[in-house]
Amino acid sequence: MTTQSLHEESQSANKDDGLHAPMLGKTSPMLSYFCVYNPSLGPTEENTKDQILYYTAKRVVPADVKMKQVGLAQALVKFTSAFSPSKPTQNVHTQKNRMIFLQPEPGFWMYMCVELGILRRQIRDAKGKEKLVTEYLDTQLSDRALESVLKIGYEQFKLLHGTFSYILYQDDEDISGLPSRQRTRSLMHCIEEFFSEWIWKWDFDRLDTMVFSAVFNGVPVQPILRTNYLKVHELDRALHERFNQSIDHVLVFDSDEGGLLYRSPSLNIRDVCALRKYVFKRIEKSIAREKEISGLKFFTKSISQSHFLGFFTSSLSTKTTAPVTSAPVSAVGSQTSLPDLLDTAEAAPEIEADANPDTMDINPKNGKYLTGLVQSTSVDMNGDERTVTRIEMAQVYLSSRSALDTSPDKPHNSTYGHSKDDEDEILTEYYLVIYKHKANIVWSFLLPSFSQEAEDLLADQKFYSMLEKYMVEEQNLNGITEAIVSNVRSAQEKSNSLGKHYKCFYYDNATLNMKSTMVNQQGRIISKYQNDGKFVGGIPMTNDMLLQLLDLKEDFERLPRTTEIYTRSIANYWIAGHRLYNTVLTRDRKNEDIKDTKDKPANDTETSTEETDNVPKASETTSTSEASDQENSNDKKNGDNRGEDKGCSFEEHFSRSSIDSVRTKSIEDYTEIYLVAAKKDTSLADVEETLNRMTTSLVDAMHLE
Amino acid sequence: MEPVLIKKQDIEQDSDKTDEIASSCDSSYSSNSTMSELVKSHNKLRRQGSRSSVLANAIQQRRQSKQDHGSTWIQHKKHFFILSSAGKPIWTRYGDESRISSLMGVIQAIISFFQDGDDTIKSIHAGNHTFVFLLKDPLYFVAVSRTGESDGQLRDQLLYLHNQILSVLTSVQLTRIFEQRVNFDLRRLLGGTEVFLDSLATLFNNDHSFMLSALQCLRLSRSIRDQAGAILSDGRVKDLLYAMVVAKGRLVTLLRPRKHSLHPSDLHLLFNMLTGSTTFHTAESWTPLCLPKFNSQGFLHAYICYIERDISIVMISTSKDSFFELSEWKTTMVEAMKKKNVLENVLKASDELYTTEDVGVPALLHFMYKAKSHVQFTSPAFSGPYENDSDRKRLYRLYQHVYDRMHARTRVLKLYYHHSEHEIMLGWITSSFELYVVFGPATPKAVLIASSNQLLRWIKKNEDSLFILNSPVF
Repeated sequence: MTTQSLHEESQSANKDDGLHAPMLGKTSPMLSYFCVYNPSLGPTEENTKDQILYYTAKRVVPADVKMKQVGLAQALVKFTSAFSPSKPTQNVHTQKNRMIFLQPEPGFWMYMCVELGILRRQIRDAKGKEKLVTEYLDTQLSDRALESVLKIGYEQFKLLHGTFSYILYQDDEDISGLPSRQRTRSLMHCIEEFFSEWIWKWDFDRLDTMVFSAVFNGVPVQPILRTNYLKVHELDRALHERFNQSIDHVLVFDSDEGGLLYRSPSLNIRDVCALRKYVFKRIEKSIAREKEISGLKFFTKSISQSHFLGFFTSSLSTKTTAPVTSAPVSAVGSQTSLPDLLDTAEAAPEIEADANPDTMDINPKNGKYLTGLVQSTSVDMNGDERTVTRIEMAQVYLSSRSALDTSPDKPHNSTYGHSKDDEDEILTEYYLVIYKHKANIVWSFLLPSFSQEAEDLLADQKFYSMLEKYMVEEQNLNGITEAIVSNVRSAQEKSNSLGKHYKCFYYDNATLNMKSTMVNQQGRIISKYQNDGKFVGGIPMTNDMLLQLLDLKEDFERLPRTTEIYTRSIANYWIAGHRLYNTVLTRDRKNEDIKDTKDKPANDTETSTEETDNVPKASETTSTSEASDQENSNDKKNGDNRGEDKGCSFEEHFSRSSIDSVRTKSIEDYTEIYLVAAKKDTSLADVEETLNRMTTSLVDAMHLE
Repeated sequence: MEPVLIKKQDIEQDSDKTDEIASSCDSSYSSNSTMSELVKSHNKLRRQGSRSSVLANAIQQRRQSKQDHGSTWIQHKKHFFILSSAGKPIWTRYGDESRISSLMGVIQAIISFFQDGDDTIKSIHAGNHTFVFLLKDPLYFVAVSRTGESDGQLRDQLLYLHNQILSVLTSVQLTRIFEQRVNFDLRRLLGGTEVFLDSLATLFNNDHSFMLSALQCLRLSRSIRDQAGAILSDGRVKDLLYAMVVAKGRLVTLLRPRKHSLHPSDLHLLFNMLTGSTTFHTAESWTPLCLPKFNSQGFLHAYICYIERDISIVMISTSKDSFFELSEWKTTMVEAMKKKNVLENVLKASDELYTTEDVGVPALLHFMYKAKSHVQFTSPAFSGPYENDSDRKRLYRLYQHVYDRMHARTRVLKLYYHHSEHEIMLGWITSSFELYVVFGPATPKAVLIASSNQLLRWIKKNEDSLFILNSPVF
């Protein structure tokens, strides 16, 4: 039937009438419209338009067309629910469009329509007559990728605003009635504020961005030595004490590589995942602002005011090409940094820095705050520099609870990642203070907003300098930072050659850890994950490869208990995937290491890596994974021992704080490793061997000790 | 002399009296079509009831609310619907056509909404459910399935259903009927042939030949196959197009004109007719038939006769008056086959299908091999773990999955290795063959490759009994 379906396709490919003489070649898929609606908000004929909370489209659309589109969406959902009552419509494929649905909260729908990419070609028919064929590139768009885009959109919205229903109903017991006008308006405003910018940033041709920031929505962890981890942990605890528990959670990122260095054990990993994107967006914004300022300074001094206005527009386009390593969300789009800058400048009350010697103390010396009390240099029309300090509060909503929250235990999801119904989820509002240390280590502090004490601290200018001073002078922040930076550096040098024809990717669905190993110029893989999810160097990852990789992911999801899939395309590249269920990949090595390498100097990591390069290690890992079932029973015991063992590695600690509570016997508890091989004569055995080797090297990369 | 094919004009002349055609159709499927509506719907219910996926639920639900009967049908794993472009129900795999009008109305409304926007709906996904739409004006075909089959596979199945309808009516008649009356109730015209739609729908879950677009032949020693072919070729009557011997849905031999090979899709429809109804088991039959891939616009005439249990002779003629000649010739052939023990050997071969044990490759659990140039495939009978019903079903879907992944239009694969807790499947496609081979879950990859090569050698060695390498032509 293959021939038949081919025939089908060619029939469905439209023959253009040539009236508009369309361009030959390929066009990219693009967003047609996006909306958020809730049918229960407009139950009667007269007020159906109230269902639509947000609508944005490529071109201006009359109100009745909007209603029609939303009406169709509801009809489709209703139709499919007759057969599939529990799982609603996810996507619709048509000849020219793709529609994607997401119901993030009961009753609330996010719905987008993407126009398919088009390929127009001149072909000769059987009689040798030339004709124009239009092909709609349905298979180039991944449903999973598009759905993931909506999912992380909602994730970020929720982080910044809370849930839709909370904004609409707050603590109302009765949500059957219609919400007040005012609340509806405020929800509509929140949605517009967030999505109007966000949704248009996506380039649906950039599958790599979608795959590595949305489909695999994880948190790359940058492992550090146990001793360093413990130092950070101590600092976390000390901060907690020092500020009367107002600093609830602490997060530390390596802002160059985007890796997570530390998180307070009290912080839910899903929250970390959402926060990471936001923190890096703020970092990027601050970098962009610095650039604007320095550019401004230069230009205002040399050119007239009319040119100065022109500079704003030109700087917009240059920014798109600037190789900014940044968080995925903001990496995609480009045209919006400037409005952001103006917005925040307008909104935040500015406090002029006095010449008063007191203020010298207020200014942080070892880094800068990106939220909270923010200092920035601004340039006036004369090109003179001056320092401006202003309050820029960032509020976030997290499911992680505050230690100050003394309210009785509400039903709380500790296994949040697996929980399907997030509707009962209780969010806590926090203030987020981001502090970027000069060595590009970024500290994020979360203070509960319900605490008056926290509120007072944040409003006090002295708090910020006190915080820095305390960390630097009493807790040796600079020393810790130095140790971490050397840690990170040695981890990057530590590499294992897979050969230049391989690429790999690792994702853990329970811990959300992810890693991609790429090839550098020396043909050695390095364990590194770029912020915006892009692969750099080595073989290029084409969209076809990524689609094939997503197919594998799909297969793992669809066919239960699939552990291994190898595929070879007609273009002769291999994509192999391995999924391990409910297995702590590194258990055996970890236990050995704890005994053997206590307080080993960091320099020695290089040599210990060399040792693990050889083949026996590779086979050891294989047997570990194969014997996983058998080992599951041992797992429990190990876990118990681990609990008593005070001196534990980073990963160990990770296990205790998160894995043990997150790891269940659930089918959702798995780790995936993907390998791409792009060499012509690679054999199945080669791929298998490399995959094993890669697994070993990943284990090494995650364990510095 | 009758025309070789009933051409467009010929049909135009007699199709004004559509009812007459309907009644002639009726008469050709004698026993089935004379049944009262009551008996038919009873049979349908019985057929549906025997499907285990819903039975337990159905009983439970019936207990819960007695007035709620008739809604359990929707829980079946896979539905097919055929409706007219005006939204009139024509056929449903489950449930009762007369009770699903509102659902058909919804489907029709959805389809036309997209058409109004100069677009065409193709599929919807909701959880494990896939909805596939095939628009073949004046008919719409819809599949609703949670079997894990891909959009493409379901679409192909809808195309088969479409072809089945064409085989009863021809495209010319179908178009004209609806041109004359948009609201025409096609059920009247299909009169009794719904049983073949039913059996097709079931066959999609049991027979990979639809997916592979290839024929499955009976494994038979070359000499016996040649003998059967020689008997068919000998004393051929005029106006004959094709003649074949079929055993249990597997082809024994086929006689064809040099210039006209028979499209696998047409043959599958024919095989479905043989197995899908008991009508043909009892007597010689003579029925008008359209083979859509051969010519979707006109009728041919099929002579069908079971000469032994499970073995039938099928002859396709261009003349509607050949029945007696063909019948006579059949008698001669059967005598010849009996005399040369051909019949006995074919019967034996169809009773004792080969298994993986006969192949002698260690750790091999099952396989499918398609010889691309012959458009034929071979597969052993289910043995070992796959004698178990649920394991066999899982294997069936796994084959479908692997096949689909390897044939995805834009991302064709040469090799696909799939490891799960139950088995390993390796799909391997070259320019000359497609091999899908199944091993136990503990088989190392090196063994897998070696064993697959060993299997390929075995197939090569037994090629002339596994496949029809040269069928008789005239």
